[in-house]
Amino acid sequence: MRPSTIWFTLKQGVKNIKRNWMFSLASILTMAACIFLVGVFYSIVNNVDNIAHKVEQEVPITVFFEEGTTQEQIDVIGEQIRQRPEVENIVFKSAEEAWNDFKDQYFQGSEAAEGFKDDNPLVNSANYQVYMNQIEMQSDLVSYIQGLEHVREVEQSEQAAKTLGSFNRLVSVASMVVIGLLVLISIFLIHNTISVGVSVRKEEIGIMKYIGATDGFVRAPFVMEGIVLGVIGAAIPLTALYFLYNSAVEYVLTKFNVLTGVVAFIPVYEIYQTLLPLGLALGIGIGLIGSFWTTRKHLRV
Amino acid sequence: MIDLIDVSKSYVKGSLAVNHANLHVDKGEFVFVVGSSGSGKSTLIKLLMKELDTTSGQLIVSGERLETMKHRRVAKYRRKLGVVFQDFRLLKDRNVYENVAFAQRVVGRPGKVIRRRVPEVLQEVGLAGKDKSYPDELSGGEQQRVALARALVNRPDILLADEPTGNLDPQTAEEIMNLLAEINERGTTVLVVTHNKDIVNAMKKRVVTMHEGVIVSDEKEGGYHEA
Repeated sequence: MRPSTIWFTLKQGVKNIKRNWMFSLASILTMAACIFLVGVFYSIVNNVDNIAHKVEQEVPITVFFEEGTTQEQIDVIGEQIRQRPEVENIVFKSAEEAWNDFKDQYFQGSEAAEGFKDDNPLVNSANYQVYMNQIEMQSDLVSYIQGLEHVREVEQSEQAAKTLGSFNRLVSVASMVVIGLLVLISIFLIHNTISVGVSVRKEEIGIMKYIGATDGFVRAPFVMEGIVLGVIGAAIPLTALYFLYNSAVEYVLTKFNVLTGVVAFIPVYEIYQTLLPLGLALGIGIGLIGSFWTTRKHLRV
Repeated sequence: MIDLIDVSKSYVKGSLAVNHANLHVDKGEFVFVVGSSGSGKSTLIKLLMKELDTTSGQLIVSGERLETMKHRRVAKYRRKLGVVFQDFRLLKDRNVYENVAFAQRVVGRPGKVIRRRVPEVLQEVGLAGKDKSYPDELSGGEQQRVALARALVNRPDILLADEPTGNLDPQTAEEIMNLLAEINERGTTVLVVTHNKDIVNAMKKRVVTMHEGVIVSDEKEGGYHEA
């Protein structure tokens, strides 16, 4: 395409939007709502995911062994656990280390612990601490480990993992449904907007066709209209969300003091590394699909 | 330049709008196609524009087989034609210059070419100095001249005119027909569908007469006969 043709197409596209601005506005607002929700859900899902990931990393599964298990057998168990894909890291803690940790935590240097000096009360407490990378797989992993030879007991923080995992699944499914519906409505509204533009310019399109305009040339201003609507429809919520995100994080942290220090929210620029291209692609995609669908129906002369 | 070999077109099964038509038009010819309403003249123009597909037969225009032409080729083919209609079909929201320049934009001519060519063609059709006027500010004859300028601006091989004088008074109609004859003298093949008996009889050009889809006569320097 020549620069003059591109300029001509862009001008026509913007002209179309101005000509039926009511429909254009409706399309932009629906799309903006859609992309706003995408942004909100994306931020929630990612933050919950982030928190869940922290829990996964910080709350390990603890594996204890039967009495009399040799170090070789313990090593074999360790190797078997390490090979599971959902396992991020595995740390061995000997009975002595376990006792030392316990002492530090509960006796806090008091002399009472000295009574056990030569007789480790946690003699059977050698264990593996297993850190996961997929919290949803926790119960699978636990039953796998329970099935291993010489394993006495497996302790897990199942509740936290389950709750976060199912919350995230719920949010994901609900957001998918709502976003899907809004995408459909947006496409439909763009289709309507561009249909109005096509019918207003029916005569002009007819003239273009018999002068020898290609389908692409006739279609281009409408597709451009769709893209411009899409970009505006994406720019509004993306800008709004950028500022709202920080305020929302601040609000949550002040309202629920208890969360400070426990929960770390993802910084906005990190969220936007994906959300910005995702939102723009969604806007442009909706605009393109809406306009192509309309022009395919109307332009075959 | 134009060859119809046993061409038929039916809209509804059984009735033929064009009935086994055979016609040969040489490069540079001027041909009137005449006949009463429903005789198939407009269908013939639509077939030549590839707005309609033939039902049977061969249709060759400017070396291109229309009956087998793919949709994506049609736009390029139409650039070889200039077309004018009875109702002018101008864009009301654009001035004369823009209406004519539009035809060049559509085929992707660069701005420099457009700025040179549009005034040139406006001069050819006798509209020099009217480039800033809007269609509503022009007489019927002037509007048809704009339509002609638009049809000619891309230097087509063939000019098709469907009742170009149908909305014009006799004197203006004569002026437009004279303009068509001038365009023809400059080398463009011209095919005019018309009802205008006086003009056809006065101009002494080739006349093809249609009746109920059939070409019933084809005369050099002919006249308008009611079939």
